[in-house]
Amino acid sequence: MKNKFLAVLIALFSVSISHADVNTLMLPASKLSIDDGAFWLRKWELNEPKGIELKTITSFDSALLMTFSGADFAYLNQQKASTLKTVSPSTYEWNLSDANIDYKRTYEVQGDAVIVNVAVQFKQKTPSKAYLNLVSHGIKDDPESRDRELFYFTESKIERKNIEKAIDPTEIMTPVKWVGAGSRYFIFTVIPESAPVEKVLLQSTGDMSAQASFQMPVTNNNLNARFKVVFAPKKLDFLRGIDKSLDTTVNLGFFTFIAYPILWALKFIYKFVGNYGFAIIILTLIIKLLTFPLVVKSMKGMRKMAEFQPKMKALQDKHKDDKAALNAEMMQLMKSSGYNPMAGCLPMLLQMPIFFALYSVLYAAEELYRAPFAFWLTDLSAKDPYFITPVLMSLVMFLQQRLTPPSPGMDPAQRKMMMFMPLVFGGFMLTTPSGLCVYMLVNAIASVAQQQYLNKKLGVPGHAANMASSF
Amino acid sequence: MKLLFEIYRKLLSPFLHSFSKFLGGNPYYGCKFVPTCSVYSEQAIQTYGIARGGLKALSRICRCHPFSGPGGYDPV
Repeated sequence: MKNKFLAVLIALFSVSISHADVNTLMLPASKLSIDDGAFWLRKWELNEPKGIELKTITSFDSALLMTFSGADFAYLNQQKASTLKTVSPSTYEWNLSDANIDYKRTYEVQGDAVIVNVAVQFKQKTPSKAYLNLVSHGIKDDPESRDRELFYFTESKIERKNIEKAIDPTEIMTPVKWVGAGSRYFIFTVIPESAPVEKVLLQSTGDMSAQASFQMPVTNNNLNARFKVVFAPKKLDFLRGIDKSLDTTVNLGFFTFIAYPILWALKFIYKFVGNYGFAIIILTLIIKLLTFPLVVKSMKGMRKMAEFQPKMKALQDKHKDDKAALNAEMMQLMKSSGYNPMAGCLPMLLQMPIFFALYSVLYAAEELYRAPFAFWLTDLSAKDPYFITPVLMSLVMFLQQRLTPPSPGMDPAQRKMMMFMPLVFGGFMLTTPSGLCVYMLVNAIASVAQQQYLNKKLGVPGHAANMASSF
Repeated sequence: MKLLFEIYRKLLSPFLHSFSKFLGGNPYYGCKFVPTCSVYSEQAIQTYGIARGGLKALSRICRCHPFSGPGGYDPV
């Protein structure tokens, strides 16, 4: 009795659903309800994380609809099935028969995907084309607007289109392996398994909404096609288990090849500590330890360079007007005292890609979604709600600036500017995921500790701080 | 042109330096060559013009890696 009451209540509250007759397929990681009307799906819910359904990506329960060219077949969009049949716990059949058409859809669970078999037979008039349309809407004040996209995979490469920007009608003639809609952490994808796809069409269908359509010809009054439909979290292993190329939907940016090992390491550490916040901290410290020898080496090099600076300066003053003499004496100085400069700026530039890759991982990894750390940080993928970590980070960075000697050759104006940088970075961190803030904070603290240790061991470079160079 | 170099030195360079300082705990401060690339570039462009000077500057920047010999004093 109570259940029945609940069912009625649910039916009342579901906008696009007018029937209580819900037919459900259980997948290993999700639960799919099938529409009795023209839409291919009704509601698709993941078991984990809770409360995530197809609507989370597309803002739309059904999102998948087959249409036919010509006004004669528009009525089909309003038709309900004439028979619905549960063939087995993992197979379900939808059937529509009238004077014009025999239309059958069979749903089959296959691993973590659903296979939809379509068989359409036209009895009188025949349309020339059939379209399978995938629609996605944006929502107002969408925190994920940057990541709400339609995408397609062609020639071993994924192409993404943000749905909130107008998409010019595009025809993709090259074979398309799959088409889908994505949000920051989840995807909905349709893979044609055996379908006579001529081309894929992409276009905006209104404000903040877009659709991708497979165009197929209807030949001999028939259409037979088979699609694999996937709704999944953007977890690399999970996606690869469904289709190898689906891992490209995880947007790790330009430095994906660096981001993959970082993500792997993060998950590996997580296995031992069971908390992604601690995993981030440990990974940060490991990277710090690995680069420690380099730091020591370049610190020594810098100290040597600091000794050079006054000598070079003196030479420069001595030969103000005689460039040739200056050059000669400079060369002599370099040779006689075994000037051994640093490795150059390339290693410095190399850390940038690592940072960007780490940033992408902490931004895009589904593993961090709703992953708690400790205290006030309950979701490492969301910004710090009280801005504690960014402010702390700015303070530590400022301290770091005070402790580390400036680069030799930097003039006072540049040094003044450097003092502002902690504020700039702190401002930038205000809205970034708190997982990244944790990384930045731990990195800053570790850097200060390292600097203190080295200052103690190698001595404080007092004179280096007072040097200005006109070079 | 001078303005561009000024902007780089006053704004961009401190930003890049503090960023890398922060990222790597300050391992690579200091330049391989004397004068620095920005001074070298400015002088090269003043002396040889934008095309040839620019090329010289580019080649200098490309030489700033660990496998390009000893470095040190390298005037225009």
